[in-house]
Amino acid sequence: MRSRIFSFKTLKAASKNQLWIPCLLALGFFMAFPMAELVMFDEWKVDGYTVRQIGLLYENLWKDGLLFTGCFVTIFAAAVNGIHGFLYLYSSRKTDFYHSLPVKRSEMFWQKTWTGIVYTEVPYVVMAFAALCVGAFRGYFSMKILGLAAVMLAVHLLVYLLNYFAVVLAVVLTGKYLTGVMVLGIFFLYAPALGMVIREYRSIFYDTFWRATDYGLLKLLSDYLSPALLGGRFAVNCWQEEGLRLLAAVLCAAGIFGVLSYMLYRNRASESAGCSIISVKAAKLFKFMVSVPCGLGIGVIFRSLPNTGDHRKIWWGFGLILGTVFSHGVIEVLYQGEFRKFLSKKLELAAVGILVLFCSLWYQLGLGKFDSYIPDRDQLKALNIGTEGIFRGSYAPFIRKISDGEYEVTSGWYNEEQNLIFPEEEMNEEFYGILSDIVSEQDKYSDGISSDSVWMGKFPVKYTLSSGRVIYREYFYNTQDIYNLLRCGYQEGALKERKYSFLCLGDDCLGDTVSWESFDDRTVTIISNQKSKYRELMEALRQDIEEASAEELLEQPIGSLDMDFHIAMKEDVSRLVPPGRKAEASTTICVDVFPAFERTISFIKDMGDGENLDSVSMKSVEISYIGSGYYDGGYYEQQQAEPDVFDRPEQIAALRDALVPYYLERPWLEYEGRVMVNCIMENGAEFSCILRKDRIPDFLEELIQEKAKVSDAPEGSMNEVIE
Amino acid sequence: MIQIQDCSKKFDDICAVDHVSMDVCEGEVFGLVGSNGAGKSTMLRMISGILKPDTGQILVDGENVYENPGIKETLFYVSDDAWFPASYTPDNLADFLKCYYSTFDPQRFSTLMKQFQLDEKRKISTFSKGMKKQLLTILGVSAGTKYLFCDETFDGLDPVMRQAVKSLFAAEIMRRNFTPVIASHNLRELEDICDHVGLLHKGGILLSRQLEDMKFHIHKIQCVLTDREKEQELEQELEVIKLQRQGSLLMITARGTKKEILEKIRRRNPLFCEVIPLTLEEIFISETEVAGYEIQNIFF
Repeated sequence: MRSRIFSFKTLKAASKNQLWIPCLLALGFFMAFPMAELVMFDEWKVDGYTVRQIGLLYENLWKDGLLFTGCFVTIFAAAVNGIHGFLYLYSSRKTDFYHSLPVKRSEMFWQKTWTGIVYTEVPYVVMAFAALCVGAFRGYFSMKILGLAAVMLAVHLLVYLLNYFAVVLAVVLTGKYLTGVMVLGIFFLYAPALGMVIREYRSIFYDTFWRATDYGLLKLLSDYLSPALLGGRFAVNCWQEEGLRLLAAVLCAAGIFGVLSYMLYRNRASESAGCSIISVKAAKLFKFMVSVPCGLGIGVIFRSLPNTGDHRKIWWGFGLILGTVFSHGVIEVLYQGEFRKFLSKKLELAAVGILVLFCSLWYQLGLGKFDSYIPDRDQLKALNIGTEGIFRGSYAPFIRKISDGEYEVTSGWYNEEQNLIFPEEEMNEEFYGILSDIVSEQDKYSDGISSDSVWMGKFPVKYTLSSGRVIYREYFYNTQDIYNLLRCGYQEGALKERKYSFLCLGDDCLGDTVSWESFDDRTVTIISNQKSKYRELMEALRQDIEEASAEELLEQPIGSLDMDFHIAMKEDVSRLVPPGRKAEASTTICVDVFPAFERTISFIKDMGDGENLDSVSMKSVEISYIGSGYYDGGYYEQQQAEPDVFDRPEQIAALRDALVPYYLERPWLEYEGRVMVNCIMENGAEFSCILRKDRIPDFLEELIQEKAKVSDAPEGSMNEVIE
Repeated sequence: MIQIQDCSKKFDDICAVDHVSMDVCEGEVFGLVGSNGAGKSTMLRMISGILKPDTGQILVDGENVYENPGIKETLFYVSDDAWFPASYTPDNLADFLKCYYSTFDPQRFSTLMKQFQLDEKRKISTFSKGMKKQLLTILGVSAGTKYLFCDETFDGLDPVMRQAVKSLFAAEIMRRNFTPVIASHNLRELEDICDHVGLLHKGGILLSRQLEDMKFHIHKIQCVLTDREKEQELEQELEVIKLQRQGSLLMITARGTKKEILEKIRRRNPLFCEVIPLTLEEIFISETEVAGYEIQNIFF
């Protein structure tokens, strides 16, 4: 018998009174294509772009913007067609009607799929054509645009099929609306929701978990395991580097969903209409899949209710029990369609409870050895160290010269180029050893409350393994750790070139002003619209930095320069500027000036400024002591009410050696944290300082030991709680 | 010919059809009767290829019916509780079915719609229950299939329409090779039209015979015998299905031909003896009572 799948007659007969679907989708595609295009044309016109620029922007719109807007409508179309085509399976009357027809299930499956494609693609093609006409009418049409439109159609068709088969599988797998919605939710939202729960647990229980970047399992859950998100990601990034990988993922996922939904539909018994989930095994799996993360998730919510640490465990435990019982009960009620079945499966509830307990203990006891993990040296391909936090006020973006007068600026630490202290060919045993020591000492920081170890902050690390896998961690560091790490980076690695990459900037990039950060945090402009002076300063800096040793770059800076640059960027479609304006990025780079930078210091002095603490006449120095301790699970600090005043010349002279303007605090040097220092000048002006620990005079050391004791803070007297 | 061979169907723990075997011959009107929950609808849905039997097989003209479009094109299923696509008119439905049944005769459909005084352009959702039944029967007949499976078709039809449907079936049988299979509780209606009856009870088949043959082998007799001893002898000699006594009057429902039964009674010199014709309904009640469907337990 002739196949009826692609028969126009069958399609026409099946489409009686169903035209609302293509009409609705046509409206959606109208807004996604011609309307979006018209809005963009208007915007470009208002912005004053040239014809050539609009041509580039228009091309990019087909490559990027319309892919994105069309993706929303495509996913919506997939959901509508999938549900509309197969929802009859929920009603035994409808099932009898369709299944009594002389047509094979397989044929019916493809017939409905084909009908859905026609309902979607006809309005799609019409609206895409309309969008092309809008462009052509305004003089923007080329074979390239036509090619981009064809690629867009193919991408959207793939996104459609992926989501369509996922929806069909959810419908075919179930026999009731409630469970249908539940399974649909599992398919589309489960992975991102599970990712959220795992992310929360990792950030609570793992001190080295780096929250800002998803990788591995979390990336898989958030980007790949939800059909809608995977489809959306593919549509947005199909032209990027990961496009091929995403294409493979989309094809694979669409294939799996397609085969599964086809097999299930073909073998689905007609009497399954009205049953919750047609496969008992799948039902059990879904119940576990939902109730375990729900239990864990509700546990975390309850854990966050109290403010102090001691009660958190109790609330967490309560939340885990409540969440497990509640989520399991609700799922059972949904599954069986009866409120009385809330606690009907006690054995299953017990199994879920055990799983929740196991997962909780896994995180609580650190059974996965997450915090102590470091890849083997021979597995490691490259190491990125996030230095934004380490260099604090003197952080500069990574700048690369592309061609004469064109540069590329990147500021994310995880960028492959930036802060890649040890790429593969330069990997250094000493550096790996230092990092291993830091990793092995993480436990003593995480003990926190009972530990005497002082950590200065945290820095992120990106490990790139030989297999291509990337792993992120965030480590506590102390002064010595970071000193060793940076020294090694300067000496053996590429840290100096990367940190001072701005030196590659040519004269045409020099901005208008250079400021010297004063000791009392005032900003003094030392260069203003003097290009020749600016050039001199750059040359002085270049020579000083080139000659400076690793140790010299890790000394206490005497001040810092804020240097203004206008960097000409490579013109591309994301950085187009209308005529009359230059495609450039203005940036201010902060450069520490170390004592070894003799040429630079001399230049600054020549410019009539560069005042530092040595040259200031001080009247007195006021020092308050900070006592600290732990109380009720929290860390408290208590500041002495009346400061000690040191105004004798010999005291001031002794203190001057240890004083550092607070803004010049650097993590590779140790400072006294138990004091607050206020300097008062002869003219009455005041400014805050910190004290270098290795230069504190003896008389002050004794006073600090005496007055800034670590003790349990009495109730009601603490002025700060640090969690 | 439809051959049902040792078919069973379970819904969870409920056995709707239990190892049923029977044949439906071509050109006869087959009545499928049975108590509530006997499995009539399930049986029809299996024969129509909607449900797959758990065990056994159903052969239509020698081929398995399930997932066999070629065979399914020779049969049409008229459901008791039919669903119609939303907003469809009879015309739309006929167009739809035309795509699936190559034998569908639009001319015949149009003629029958006129004869039954149904509006082809009116939305089906506005039809009454009886009108929907008429429409389905017309569609079934117009589909031109060899077999037509009707589930409770006469239920909801007024007496005039019942007669019209019966005459329609009769006309179709005369016109072409047409075999309607009718599942119904309305035994009186079936009695008028059926050639063959299959009696289902609790998922199993109690009997499947030609109606005349069935009536020929079961009889109801009223008689008065002279003494109790003779009554007991007669009870043992006859294959009694049911025995009731009103004073000295014995009412016996027994298997056997009229001649055999009368001969056995007359040998005992009855004071009075009369054979009363059994309706299909009475046969049904008698047979199901034997199978444990006690009517006394239902009526109070």
